[in-house]
Amino acid sequence: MSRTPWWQGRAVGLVALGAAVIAFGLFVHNPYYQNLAVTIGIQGLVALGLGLLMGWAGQISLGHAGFYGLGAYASAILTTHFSLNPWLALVAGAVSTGLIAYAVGRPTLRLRGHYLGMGTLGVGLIIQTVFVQWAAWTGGPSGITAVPPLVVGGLALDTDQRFFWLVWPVVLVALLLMGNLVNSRTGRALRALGENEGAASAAGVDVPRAKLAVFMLSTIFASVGGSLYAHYTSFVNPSPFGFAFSIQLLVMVIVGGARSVWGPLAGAAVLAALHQGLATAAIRVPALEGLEVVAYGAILVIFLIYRPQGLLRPRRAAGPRAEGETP
Amino acid sequence: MSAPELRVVGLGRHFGGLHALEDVSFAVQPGKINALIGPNGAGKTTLFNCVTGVIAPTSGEVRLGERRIDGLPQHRIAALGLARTAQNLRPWREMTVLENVLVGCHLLGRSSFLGDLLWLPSSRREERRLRETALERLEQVGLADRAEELVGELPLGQQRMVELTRALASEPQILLLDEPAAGLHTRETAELGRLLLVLREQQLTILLIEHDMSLVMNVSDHVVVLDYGQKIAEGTPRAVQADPRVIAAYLGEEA
Repeated sequence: MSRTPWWQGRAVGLVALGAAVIAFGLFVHNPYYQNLAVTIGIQGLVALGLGLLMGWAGQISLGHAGFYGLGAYASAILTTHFSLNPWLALVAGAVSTGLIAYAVGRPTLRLRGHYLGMGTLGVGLIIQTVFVQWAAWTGGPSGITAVPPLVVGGLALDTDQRFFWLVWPVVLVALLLMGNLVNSRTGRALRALGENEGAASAAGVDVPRAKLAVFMLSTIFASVGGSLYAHYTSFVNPSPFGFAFSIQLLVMVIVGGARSVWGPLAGAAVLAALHQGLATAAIRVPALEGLEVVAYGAILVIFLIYRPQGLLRPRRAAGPRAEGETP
Repeated sequence: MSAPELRVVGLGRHFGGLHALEDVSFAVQPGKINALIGPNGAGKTTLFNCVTGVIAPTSGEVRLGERRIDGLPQHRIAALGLARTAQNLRPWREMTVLENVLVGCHLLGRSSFLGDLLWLPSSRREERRLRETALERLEQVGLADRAEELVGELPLGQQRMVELTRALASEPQILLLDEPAAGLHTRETAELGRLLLVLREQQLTILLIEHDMSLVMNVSDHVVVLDYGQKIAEGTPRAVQADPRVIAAYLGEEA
């Protein structure tokens, strides 16, 4: 039986990232970089979930910012209006987001093609509109302030450094779970249906059910990311949860490499760094304001033309095609 | 183990005004090699699609033993023991040979989404078992040394063998093959024929669509001939070959 050499095993990557996380947490005290690392962790978590849906099951969501927002608002509303424990609020947000995803996915995922894309686009817009309009609960455009921090063993995670120690272990767990799934029977079924739905059904895969399950998991990642965001910034308003961020997540996945488990995290790092860089530059050169959207568009086009597989290569690198092998 | 009998009864399928199948009835003989032949456009693939649940027939029934299976979703029909290969080659080109066969083993497993996500011991055990089964299958057809290669990089003959191995991996009772010899050279076709005979010895029921007449006549026990969506003949290869309606259908097309 062939075995993967240990240096290619997935545990190695996780241990290496874990070591990097510990080193960063211990030795980097610059708040600018700490904030950047937390942002990458939160957005990376959401992008990882979207990558699972896009890269492995071949489905698209144009409304993931909305599911991200559901987590954030669930946490904010439940902790401020109802004084619920933040951890319970996070779980409640994840469960309700999963249920909403079920309701959206059940009709749309039975169909092939871009129906999920259209459905999620609509749902994303509706969710953001609710955040703006349902002011009694959401605070309308001005949002909700004074969201309490998450507390671990009496320690409030209210600084960049403390929050870093929460976010990155969560990212590591997410990577571990994704690695499990991708290399399992379920993961193979997802990849099979991503490449050819008809053939997957013929092999006995319950395609609508598998798509629904991975879609729900993907939105739960987004929701947990949103809850973390709300407790990190202690403030939510509708603007980060619109269509623009859905597209940004899409760019993260494509830039990082949808077909690689780690790709979307790399994509999140690139985009978050770019975002911070441009924001800093715009303080000095006001003309750069708003250039970000142009930059995302340009990056997306460049990647789709020159490196459609993204920064990180697929799990198993495709060697050079053996042309003329068939006589 | 006696496989249930697969039958189509008065099967019809229209696409708008086009009658792709009209009132077709026949029984697939269990444990035998059954061939479905006919000129291009006779409705052979449409019949396969109705039987395997890709499309629903507009009239008539598909029965597996006493059970009516037309209109069931594809994966349910697959779970009842019907496996098929497709005319246009459809293995997963982006997956390795081993992974393709493992997808074929999907129905042998029962791991859950959550169990796989958490990599529970039950999922781990099952995964190990499926891998062993898949590798065994590959050894049987002589593809074990290519297990880690991407299917898209193999020559056509081997891709087709992967596809067949994948279909057999689900341990079906009835195997439906849509033009398995298309694009194979003579030597590969002969190997395919031998493999089909081996499978028959293992009591597998085979329904075969094939244009390669020498293959059909050499291996089949029972032949059904379609023309313009209707059954025009049925019987042993020898009887069908001598049937004037069959000769007319084929010569008419080739003239």
